[in-house]
Amino acid sequence: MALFLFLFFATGVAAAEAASAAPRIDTGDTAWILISTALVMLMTPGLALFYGGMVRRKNVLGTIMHSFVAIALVSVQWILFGYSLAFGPDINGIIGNLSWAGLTGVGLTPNADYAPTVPHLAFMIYQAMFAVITPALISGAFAERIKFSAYIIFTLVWTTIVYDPVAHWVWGPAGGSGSSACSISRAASWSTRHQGSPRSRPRSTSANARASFRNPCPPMTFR
Amino acid sequence: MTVLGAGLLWFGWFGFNAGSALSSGGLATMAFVTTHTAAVSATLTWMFVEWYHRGKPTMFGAATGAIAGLATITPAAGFVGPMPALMIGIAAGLLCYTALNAKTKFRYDDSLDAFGVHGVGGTLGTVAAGLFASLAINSAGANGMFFGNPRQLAVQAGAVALIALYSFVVSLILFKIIEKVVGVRVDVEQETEGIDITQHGETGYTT
Repeated sequence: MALFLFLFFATGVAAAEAASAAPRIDTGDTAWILISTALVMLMTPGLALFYGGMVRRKNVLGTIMHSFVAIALVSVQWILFGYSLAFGPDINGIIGNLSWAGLTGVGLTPNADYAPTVPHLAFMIYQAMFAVITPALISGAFAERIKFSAYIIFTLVWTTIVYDPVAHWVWGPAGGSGSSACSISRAASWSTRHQGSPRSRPRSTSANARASFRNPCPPMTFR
Repeated sequence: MTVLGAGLLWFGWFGFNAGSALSSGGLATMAFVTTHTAAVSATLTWMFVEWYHRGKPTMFGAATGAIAGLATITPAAGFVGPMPALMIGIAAGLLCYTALNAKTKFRYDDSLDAFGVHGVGGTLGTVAAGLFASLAINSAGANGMFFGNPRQLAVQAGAVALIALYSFVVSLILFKIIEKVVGVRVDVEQETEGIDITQHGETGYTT
């Protein structure tokens, strides 16, 4: 009997220790992140209306479409390889590698580097919404001007070679050497802007990123 | 339509900033409160400045002021308290209003003032985080200059400059390449006719 009790408690303690060591999903945190994800997603159609209301009536649909298409285009990019480039395992502090492409290994187990109490997939889709709204915001700089085909190419390539690496520097595993200490505050808001060209010439443009909303974490190093 | 869009952006921005705590609790609440605080103070600031400067306050100005406040507080939300947020909102209203009016002076084209509101606001907010951030608000963050850590201001400013430079250069090159491949801008006739009909073959309004 004594032996049985001992074994019972011993396994109980061992199980409790294993549970505290493994990341645990917090239902309240997860609910909040999923709701926040939906809120951020709604910003992009909101932006479509915000911009759509500012342009002349002959450009309303095209302007709205810039934002709307960004939702679809960037989300697909993000799932296929964008999330991996931004948040995947680091290559020399410059960009993530492609081992998370197609969300390989990005599952329901929390990733302690980013968000220890919510499923990794929830963090991924939350970040997706930030990637989406960024090129949509930029579209305000060239509304009423740009060819739709040029916009599609720009959005896809810009997200890949500007947004993803910059997100990696600021919020990725190498962004800030104290990554786990900073991880709680690291996700986030980020957007970039764009300014268009002088009139007449059909070229543009200069972009100007404003960085890193959320990370005054001390070791915000850029290597 | 613009005001409806601004309202949806404001609503969604709570998820943007308060969700970035990545957990539900005190930090999310603080980010939520500062987000709203900066938005309202920038709205009021913009309205009164425009009233004084142009003679009449506009709905468009109030909506733009709200977005400027939201964009500006974003880098600092979760690191500063409500009173700094109020001041950041006022600074956002003043500076972004000035930026929009400077557009004609510097002769750059930015159809819907994306740069003036978000570029200027975001830069201001990132720098402001270096001033007002406090470990008392977010223990995982850092103190800003007003809390005895001037180095943080330099870190913030350096980061924003580096990212702005990278983004500027790469975007410029990208647009040059796209210009060669398909062309960036619609031609003058198409611009006159409107992009709805020339790019998408549909119109938003009858008549």
